Amino acid sequence: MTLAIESSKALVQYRFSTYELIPFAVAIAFYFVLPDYLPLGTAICVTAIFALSLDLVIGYAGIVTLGHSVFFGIGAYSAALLSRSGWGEPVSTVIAAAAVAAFFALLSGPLLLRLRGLPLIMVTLGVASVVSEAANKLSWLTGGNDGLPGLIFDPVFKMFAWSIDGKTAYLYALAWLFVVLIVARTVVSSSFGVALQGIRQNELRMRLIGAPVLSQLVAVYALSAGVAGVAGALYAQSNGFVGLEALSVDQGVFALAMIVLSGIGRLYGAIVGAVVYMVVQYTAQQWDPYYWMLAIGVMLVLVVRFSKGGILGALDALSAGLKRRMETRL
Amino acid sequence: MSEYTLEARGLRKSFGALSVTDNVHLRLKKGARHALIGPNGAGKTTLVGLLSGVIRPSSGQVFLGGRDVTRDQPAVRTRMGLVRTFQLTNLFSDMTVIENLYLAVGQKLSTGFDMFRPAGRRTNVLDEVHAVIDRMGLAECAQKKVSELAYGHQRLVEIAMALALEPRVLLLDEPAAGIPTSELAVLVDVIEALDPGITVLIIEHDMALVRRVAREATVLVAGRVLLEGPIGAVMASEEVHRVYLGRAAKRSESCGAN
Repeated sequence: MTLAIESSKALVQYRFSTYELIPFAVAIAFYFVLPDYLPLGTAICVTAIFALSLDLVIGYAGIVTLGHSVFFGIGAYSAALLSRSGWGEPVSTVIAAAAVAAFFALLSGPLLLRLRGLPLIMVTLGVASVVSEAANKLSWLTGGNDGLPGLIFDPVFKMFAWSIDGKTAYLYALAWLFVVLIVARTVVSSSFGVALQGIRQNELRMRLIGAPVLSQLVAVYALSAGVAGVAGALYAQSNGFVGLEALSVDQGVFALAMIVLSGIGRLYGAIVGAVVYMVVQYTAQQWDPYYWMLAIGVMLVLVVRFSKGGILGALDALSAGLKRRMETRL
Repeated sequence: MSEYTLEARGLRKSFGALSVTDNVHLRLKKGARHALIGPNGAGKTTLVGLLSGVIRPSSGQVFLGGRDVTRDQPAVRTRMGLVRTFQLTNLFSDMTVIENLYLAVGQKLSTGFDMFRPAGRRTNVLDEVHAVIDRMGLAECAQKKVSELAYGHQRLVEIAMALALEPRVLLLDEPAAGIPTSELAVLVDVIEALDPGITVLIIEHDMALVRRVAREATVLVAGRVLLEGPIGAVMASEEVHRVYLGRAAKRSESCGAN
C-alpha cells in the first residue's frame, strides 16, 4: 500500500489543474480582442513577474521585505547598461540582468536574513532608500535624474522587431511570465519548497530537525531577486528607457499590496493581483489623475476587511460553500 | 572516539542571580537508557535546552561522540545525530501529519536544496514517512492537520518527528505527558523497540514508565545533581524519596491516578 497524500497540499501542488490555463487563455484572448491596450498588457505582465518574485519570499518563505525594488532596479539598469555598451540581444540580456540581481541578493542575504519581522522590514526599507538615493548621485552610471533614455534592443530571436503597436513586446513579456511561473511553480512544489513553508511556520523546529535555515532562505532570496531582475530587464526593454522610478521604494510597496489583495503564497495570486491593481489604477487615473490612489486604497481596505485570503481566498470560500450546498441537496 | 556518546562537563546556566543549572556533569555511554528525574523547576528542560543547543551555557561544555559541540548551532548537532523532542508540542500545526514527517525525513535524506523534483514524487522520502506513521500507529490521522488532532496524538507526532530523523542520541522531554493511558502502550513499545545502539536520555514524571525503560538515572534538584546511579538504587534512595518521589507518590494518590 502506498501513502495517500491527497490532503497534503504542499506535496501535491506540483499537479497541474485546468484552472491554471485560465490566465494564459485570457492573456491570449486579450491580444486579439483589445489590441489597442497591448502596452498596458505588457506593463501588467512585467508587474506580475515582479509581484510573483515577492510572493516567493513573502508567501512561501515568510521573509517580509519592503526592499524588493532594489532587485527590480538592478535588473532594469543592468539591461540598460548592457544595451548602452552595445549588447542588444534581448533574451541573453534578461538572463544576465537576472544573474546580476541574484548576485547582489547572495551578497546581502546572509546579513539581512538573520533579521526577522519588524527589524527586517525596516532594514530592507532603509537599504532600498539608500540604494535609490545612491543611484541618483551616481549619475555617470545611472544618468541620475535624466535616466538612461533611447535604449535599443535587437529583434527577439532576430525575427520579431519591437513594433510600435506593442505586439512583440506583449507576447515577449507574456512568454517570460509563463517561463517564470513554471520555474517558480516547480521550485515551490519541490522538497526545497516544502522546507521553506516549514521555515515560515516554525523556524525553531526546522533548525532542530537539522535544516540549514539561513542557506535555504538565502537561496530563495537569490532566486526571487533573479525573478525581480527579469521583471526589471523587461521593463527596460519594453519602455526603451530606465529612470530612477525603477528603483523607487514605492514599487516594492505596490507589489506587496498586489499580493495581499489577491492572496499571499499562491503564485497565481501575484498574476490576479497585478491585473486587478493595474486595471483599477489605469481606470482610476482616467477618472482623476490626482486622486486615483483613493480607489486602490478603498479596494485594499474592503478586501482585507472581508476576506482573509484576498480575492482568491474569497473565491475558494465561495466554491467550497457551493460544493457543500450541492452535497446537502443530493 | 570517546567512551561517552553524550557528555556534559560542568554545565552552568544562570539568568541574572538565578542559577538554573549549577555545575552539572552528565555522562551517557552508547546505548544508555538514562532517566533525568526531579521535582518541577529543577532545571530538567533547561538542561535539555543546553544539550540540544537551543540555550547557550554560561559556562561548561557539551561533547557529542567526543567532539566539543558547545559552540555548535542546534541544526549542526541534529545533523550529528542529537535529536530532541519537546515537552510542549512544537510542530508545524498548519500542515498535515504527513507533511510534518516529510520535513523531518526530507531533511535527513538531504533534500533541503532539491528544487526541481516534485515533493510528492519523492518515493524514497514518502516510503520512510509511511514507515514511521505505521510504527507510531498514526495511520488514521496521517491525513489531518496537526492542529486538528487530539493532544495525545500530537504528542505521538512529536515523538515520530524525532524517530524519523534516526537519531544516535535521543533526548525525550516528558514524552508521556498528555498521552492518554490508552495510548501509552504505543509509546512504551516504541521506546523499548529502539535500536540498542541509540543513546536515550528521558525526562519523565511517570515513574512506572521510567522504571520500565531506564537503566540509570540522574536526580536533579534546584539545578544540581543530587544523585546518580542505577535505576534501582536511585529509586530506593531515601534522600530521593524525601525531595521528590515521596511528593510525587502523594500527589498521584491525591489525584487518584494510576
